[in-house]
Amino acid sequence: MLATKACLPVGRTRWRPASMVRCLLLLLLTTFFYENTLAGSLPFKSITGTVTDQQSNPVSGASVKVRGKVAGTQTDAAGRFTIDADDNDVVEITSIGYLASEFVVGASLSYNVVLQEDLSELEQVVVVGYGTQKKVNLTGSVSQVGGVELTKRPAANVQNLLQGKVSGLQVTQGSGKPGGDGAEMLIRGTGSFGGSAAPLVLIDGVRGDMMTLNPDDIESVSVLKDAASAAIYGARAANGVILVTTKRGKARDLTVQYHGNVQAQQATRLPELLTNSADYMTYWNQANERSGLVPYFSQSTIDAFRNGNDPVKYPNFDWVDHVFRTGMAHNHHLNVSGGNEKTTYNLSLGYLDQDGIMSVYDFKRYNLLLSVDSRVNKWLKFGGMVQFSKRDIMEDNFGDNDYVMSAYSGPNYTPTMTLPDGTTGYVARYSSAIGEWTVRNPDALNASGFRQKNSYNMRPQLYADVKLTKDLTWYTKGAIDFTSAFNKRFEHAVNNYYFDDGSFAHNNSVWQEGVRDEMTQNYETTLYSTLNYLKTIGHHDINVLAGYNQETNYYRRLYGSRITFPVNTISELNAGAELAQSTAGHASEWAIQSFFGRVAYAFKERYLFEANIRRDGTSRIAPEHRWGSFPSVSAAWRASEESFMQDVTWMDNLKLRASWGKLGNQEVGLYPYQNVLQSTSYPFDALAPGARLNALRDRRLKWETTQAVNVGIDLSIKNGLFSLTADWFNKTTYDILAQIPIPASMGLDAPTINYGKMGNRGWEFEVGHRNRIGQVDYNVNFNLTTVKNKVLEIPNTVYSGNKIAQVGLPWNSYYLIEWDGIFQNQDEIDRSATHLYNPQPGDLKYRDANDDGEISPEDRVVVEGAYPKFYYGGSINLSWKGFDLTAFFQGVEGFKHYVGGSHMAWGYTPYTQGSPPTLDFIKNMWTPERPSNTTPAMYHSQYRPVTGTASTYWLLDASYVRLKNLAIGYTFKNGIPQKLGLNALRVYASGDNLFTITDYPGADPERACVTCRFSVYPQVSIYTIGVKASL
Amino acid sequence: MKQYITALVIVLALSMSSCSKFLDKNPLDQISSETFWTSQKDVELALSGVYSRILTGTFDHNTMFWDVMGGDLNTNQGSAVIPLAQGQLEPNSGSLVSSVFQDAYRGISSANFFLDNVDRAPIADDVKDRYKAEVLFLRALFYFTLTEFYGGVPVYTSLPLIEDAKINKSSKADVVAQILKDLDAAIAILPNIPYNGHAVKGSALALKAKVLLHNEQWGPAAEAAKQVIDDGHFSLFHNYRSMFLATGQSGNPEIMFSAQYLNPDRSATGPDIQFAWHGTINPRVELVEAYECTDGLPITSSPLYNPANWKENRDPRLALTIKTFEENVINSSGQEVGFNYNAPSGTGYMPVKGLNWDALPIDYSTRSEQDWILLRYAELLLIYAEAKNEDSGPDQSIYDAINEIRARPGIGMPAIPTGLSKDQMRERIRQERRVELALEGKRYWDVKRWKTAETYIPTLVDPGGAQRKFDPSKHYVFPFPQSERDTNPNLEQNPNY
Repeated sequence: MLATKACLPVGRTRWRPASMVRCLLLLLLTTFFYENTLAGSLPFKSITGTVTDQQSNPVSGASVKVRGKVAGTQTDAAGRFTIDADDNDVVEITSIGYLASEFVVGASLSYNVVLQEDLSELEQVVVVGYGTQKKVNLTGSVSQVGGVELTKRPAANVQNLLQGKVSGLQVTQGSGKPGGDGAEMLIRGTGSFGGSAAPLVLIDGVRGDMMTLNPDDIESVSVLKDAASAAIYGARAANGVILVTTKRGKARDLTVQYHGNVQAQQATRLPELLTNSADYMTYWNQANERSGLVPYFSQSTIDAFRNGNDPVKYPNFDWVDHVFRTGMAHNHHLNVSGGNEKTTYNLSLGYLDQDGIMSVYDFKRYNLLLSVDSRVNKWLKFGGMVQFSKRDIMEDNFGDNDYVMSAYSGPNYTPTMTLPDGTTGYVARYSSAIGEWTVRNPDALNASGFRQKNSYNMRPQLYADVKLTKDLTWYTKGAIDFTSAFNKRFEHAVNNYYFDDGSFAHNNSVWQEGVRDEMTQNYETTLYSTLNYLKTIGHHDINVLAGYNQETNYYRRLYGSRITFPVNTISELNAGAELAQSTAGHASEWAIQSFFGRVAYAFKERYLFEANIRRDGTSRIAPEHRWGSFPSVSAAWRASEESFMQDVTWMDNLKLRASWGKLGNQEVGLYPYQNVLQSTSYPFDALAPGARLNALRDRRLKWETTQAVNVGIDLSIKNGLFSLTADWFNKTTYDILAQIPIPASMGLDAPTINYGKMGNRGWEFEVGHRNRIGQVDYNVNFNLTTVKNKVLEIPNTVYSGNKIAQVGLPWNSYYLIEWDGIFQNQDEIDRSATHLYNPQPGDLKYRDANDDGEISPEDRVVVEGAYPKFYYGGSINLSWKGFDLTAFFQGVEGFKHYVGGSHMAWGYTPYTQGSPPTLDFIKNMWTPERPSNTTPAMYHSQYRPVTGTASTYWLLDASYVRLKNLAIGYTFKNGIPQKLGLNALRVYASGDNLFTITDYPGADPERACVTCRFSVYPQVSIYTIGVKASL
Repeated sequence: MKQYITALVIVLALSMSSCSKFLDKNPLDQISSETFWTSQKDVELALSGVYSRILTGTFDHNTMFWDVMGGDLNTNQGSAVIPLAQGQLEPNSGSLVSSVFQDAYRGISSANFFLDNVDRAPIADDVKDRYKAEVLFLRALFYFTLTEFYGGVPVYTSLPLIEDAKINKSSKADVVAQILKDLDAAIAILPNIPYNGHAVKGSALALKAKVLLHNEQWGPAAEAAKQVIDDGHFSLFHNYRSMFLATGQSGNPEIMFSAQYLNPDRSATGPDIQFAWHGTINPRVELVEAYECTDGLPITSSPLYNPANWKENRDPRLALTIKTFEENVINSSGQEVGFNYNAPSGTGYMPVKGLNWDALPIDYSTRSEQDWILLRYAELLLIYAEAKNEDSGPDQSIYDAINEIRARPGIGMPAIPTGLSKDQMRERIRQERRVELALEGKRYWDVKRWKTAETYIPTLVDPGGAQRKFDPSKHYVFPFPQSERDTNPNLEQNPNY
C-alpha cells in the first residue's frame, strides 16, 4: 500500500519514464502480496483533491469516501486529501455544517470540491447573549446571518449589509457618502420617543461601532429581537440587541486568503434639471411676475442667450452633469490564519479607498484584526484579540446635503468666467439685480476649503475560559474600546463674481473662515464574568448561567478655532492670528453595573423552557432609584419530536415558541436627574462668567421600560425544501421620557419625567425554499415585516412641524392640509373655500376638511406614511458547477417623505434660490392653454399660494423595491488554482442598486430622514469586480 | 490550582457587589445647584446670569422687527413677523407672540432665583444690596416689556413651584405698580454715576420715566426724567452714527442702558449678518418720507425737496439710518464697499443705523459686538418733552429738549417753530421720536399708546399686495400663547382672541 502511494502521482509531481519503470516493478511486488484484493480488476488510481467552502476557505476534517467501499480518509488542515479509487467510482465528501457532495472519478487525478454550506436549521448554531445555542433549541426570537451570506454583497459597511437580510430589522441607509453611509437601524419599530430607539450593538460581547468593522472580518451577526433573547442585556435591550462575532483562527495549516475588488460608483438617481439658460431666464421671469415681483432678465438678455451665437458670453451649462462623476473604490483584505489543537491565530489586514461621486469626498479605512486563542491545558483556555481601525474621511466644507443643494442650483452659467482684468474668477450668479439668497458655486466651494475627519479605534480584549468541573465553566473577559477622533474644518475666502459684468459678488464664506479643530476621546472599559453549568441527566438538559458585568465610559472633547490665516494653504491653528480665537472643552462619564442569570431546561429536546434575569444599576439615575430588574420567561414545544410525529418523515422541524419579558432603555441622557446651573456670561466691561438656572429636574427620573410578548413558529419540511419562521410580537414601552408641559411664565424648561407610553405590534415572516434540479442548486429566501406603532399615553398632543403626536395615532403622524388639485379658473377659486394668499388659476387647491369655508390650520388631517406599511427583502441563490448567482431584492412599502421646507427644496421646487425647475415640472406644469390638475403653474419658491401651506402636495411616496445586489461568481476547478500556485480561486462581478421601482420623483427614495430636504447626498449604484484566492 | 481559581471566583463575586461608589458619576463641566450660593463669586455668577437674559431676541437688535409691526419697516417674505403685521395675530401664531413671553419670563425667573437665594450667601451687605438693586431694575425691564405687549400678565416675585405656577394675570395697573415698586427700590440704592455696563441710578430713573409715560402718568414721568437731566451724568453724543457702533459706545455719555456684546465670545448672529447681509429689514418709503428737509419743513412743503434724489437736502439722520438696496458705502478706511445681500428689498431700501461697514463683505464669520441701546439720553429728553407737554402744555424746557436733539453736532437741524399749541407740540414730539429713534424698536409701542395704529396701519400695503390690518378691538395687546393657556387654565385670554 505504501509502495502504491509512493509511485503514483501526487499533487503537482509529473510522470517521468524512469519512475514509471520503478513503479511497475513495485506494483508487481504488491500484486504478489495483495493478489486477493486486486485479482480480476484494474489497478487503483490514487487521486488527490482539495475541499473548500464557497468562500475558497479550505475545509479540514471532511470525510472522503468512495461509495460502496468501507475505507475512507479525512482532509488535512489545508483541505487536501488523497484516496484510492477506480475510474467511474463515486467519491463522497461530507462535513458537518456543509451539504454532502460527490464526484465521479474520471481521467483526472486531481479534483477540487466546493462544499455548499448547510443552511438547514437543524445544524445551525446561533450566537445568543453570553453564549451560543443550537437554533432548534431557541425559545426566543433570534435571527442570524453568517459572514458568508453577508459578504456576498461587496459593500463597505456592515450595517448596510444587514439591510433586507433579517426580518424585524429595518435598516435605512442614509446616503452613499463614503465613510458616512451609515444606516439607521430599528428593531421591531420605533420603541421610544424620549430616549434613543437604536439597538444595542455588541462586537464580540463588547459595545462597539459597526462602522469600524471590515465586513470580511465578520463570522456572524445575530439579532436578538424579543424579550426572551434580549433580557439578558437588561436596561439597554429595549430596542433589541445586535451581536457581531468576528472571525477566529481554526486548527489547520497556515492559510493565506486574499479578497480584493475594484468598484465603480455612480449616483442612483439624480433630478433632471433645466439646463437651457434662455428657458431658465424666461421661466424665472414668469415666476417673478406671478409673485408680483419685477422680472430679473431683460428680453434682450434672454434673446442673446437664445440665439446662441456667443457660447462663451451666453452659455448653457449642466451642473448636475458637471458635479457628479463616477467614483472609484478599491478594497483589499488579507487574512492569515491557522494553528493546531493548542493554539489558533487569525490576522486580518484590510484597506479600503473609496472616492466620492462628487467634490473632494474620499474615504480610507484601515483595519487590523489579530486574535490568538490558546488551550494551556485540559481546563484552561485563554486568548485575546485586538481590533484596530483608522478611518479618514474628507468632505466638502459646506456639508454633504448643502453641497448637493448647490449642485442642484449652481449659478446656471459656467463655473468660472474671464473677469474684466483678464483673470479667471468663479461665477456667483447672473447679476447683482438678483437678490436671491446666495446660490453657491459648487466649484468655488471645492476651492474654498474642506472638512476632514480622522478617527482611530482600538479594541483590545483578553479572556480566560476555565473548566472548573466537568460541567462548570468560568469565563471572564476584559476589554477596552478607545476611540480618538479629530475633525478639522478649513475655510478661506474665494471670490465670486457676477456673470453679466464681472463685478465682485461675495467671498463664498459658508460658515466661518479659518480653522476649527475638534478632538474627542472616548474610553470605555468592559469587564464581564460568567459561570456556566451544563448538564445532561437522562432526558433532562440543564443549562444555568450566572454573570456579572460592569462598564465605564469617559468622554472628552476639546475645540479650538482661529479665523485669520496668513495664507490659504496652511490649515493648522498655530499659523492663525490669536485675535478672535475661541476654545471649548467638555467631559462626561457614565458607568453601569449588572448581575444576570439564565436557566434553561429541555426535556427530550422536545419541551424547552428558559428564564433570564438581569439586574442593572446605572449612574444615569439617582442613587435611590438606580437599580432595576429585567426578567423574561419563554417556552417552546418541538412538536416534530413527539412520538406521534415520528411517522411524518417529511417534517424536519415544527416548533412553537412563546416569550414574555421586560427590557430597559437607559439612554435617557447622562445626568438627567441632577439639578445643574448652566454656564453663561455677560460683558459688563470685560466678559464676566455667569450661571443661571435653566430647567427643572425630576430626581425620580428612571429608564424607560418595554414589555414584550412574542409568539412564533418554526417549520422546516423535507430537509429545507420549504421552511418558515413566523413571529407575532407586541411591545409596549412605558415610562417613556416626556416633557410635561409647564407654563412658560415659570421661565424655566419643563422637567423631563417618565410618562409616555407607546406600543409596537406586528408580524414578521421568513420563508425559505431550497432544492436541487439537475446540477443546479438553488435557494430562495424572503422576509417581510410589518409593524404598527401607536401612542398610548402622552402628557399632551404635540404638534411639531407637519406632524402630530396624539394618543391613538402612530407617533409623529403626518398632519397636513389635503391638496386637492389645481385651480383651473377664477370661477373655481370663487366657488371654493377661501384660501390664504389670494390664489390665481394654476395654483394649488386645498380641501376644506371642516367645511367652514376657509382653509386654515383647522383643516389639517392625519395622513398615513410616517412609517412603512411593511418592509421586505428576498434573495435567490443559484449554483451550477463552478458558477453561483445571487440576486437580492429589498423594498419598503407605504413610506412617505415630506419635502422639508417646501419653499427650500432645491432640485424639486422651481427657483429655490435660483435653482432651475425640473424638466418634468416644465413638461407637466399648468398653463392656461394646457391645464393640468397635478402640477401648478410655474412659480417661485417664495410664492405663497403654492409653497405657503404645508399640504400633501409636498408628501412624496418613497416606497420602493430595488435590486439591491446582483452577483455572479465563478470558482475555478479542475486543478486550475493549483496550476497558479493557489489552493482556491474565485472571481465575481456584482452590481448594487442596479434598478429601482418607485414613484419618487427625480432623486433616490431611500433616505433616513423623512422630513429632510429633497437634496441629499445621493445613494450610489456600485459595479464591482473582485477576486478571492487562498494559499 | 483549580481550587484557588474557584476561591478567586467567589472572592471576586463578593468584591464586585460591594463597590457602590462605582456608579456615582456627576456632571464634570456644569455647576451643581446643591453647592451654589456659598461665596461672593457665586453671587456674581448669578448676577451675570440675570444680565445674560437680555441677550435674547426680545432685548437685542431683533427688536428692530417690532418696527415692522409698527409700520415703519418691512421684512422679507417668509419671515414669521409678516403675518403678525398683516393682522394674523393669534394665540397659535408663534414668533413674537411666544418669544417675547418666553424671553421676558426667563429673565424674571433668573431675577427671582437670584432674589430668593442671595441672602444665603456670605457677602457684605452694601455689595449685596447693590446687586439686588440691579436685579430689581432688570425685573422691572422684563415686566415692562410684557405689559407693553400683553397688558396685564401673571406676576411672580419669587420662583413658584410647578403646582403653584397657575395663576391668572394681574391687571396692567397692578403689574405697573409692581414695576414701579422695583424701580423705586433700585433707584434708592443704585450709584448715581455714568452708565458702565451695570444698571445705574440714571438707568432706573430713565426706565421709570418711560414706564410712567407709557402709562400716561404725565407729571411723575416728567419729574423722573427731569431728575436725570438735573443730575447731569448723561448728555447727547456728538456722533449720531458711531453711537450705534462698537467704536463709539465705550463710555458714551448718551447711553443709559444697553444689551452689551463683546467679541469674540459674546456675539450672536449679529445685526450685521442679519441686516447688512441677509437683508431682513427693509425700511418703508413712508418712513423715508417722514424725514424733513434741511430747512425743517416736510417734503410735501419744502422747496428744497428733490423727488429725483431722495437724499438731497434731507435731515442728515435719514442717510445715517437708511440707504437704497443698490447703494455702496464708505468704510472707515475711506474705501467704497458694496453689499452682497441675500434677499432683495421689497421696498428698495436697506438699513444703515447700527451696521458696521468695516465688516463688509459680510459672511458667516462676521461677528458683531455693537451693543443694542435700550435707553439713551435723546429718548429721555423726548420722554420729558412728551410728558411735560401732556401734563402742562408747551414751555421753554420742552423746546430746549427737542432743539437740543435737532442741534446735535453733525445733524444741525433747525429749531422747531415757536409758539406751538399743545396739540401742535404733541405732533412735533411724535415726529421727532419717529425719526430720531427710527429702527430702534420703539415705533410699535408708540403707535399703540398714541392709538394711531388703528388708523395708520390699515393704510399700508405690503409688496405683493397684501393689506396691513389692525383691529382696535384686540390688536392693542397680543394674545397669550395658546400653550400657556393649555398649561395654565386659570390664565384669562386677552379680549377678542
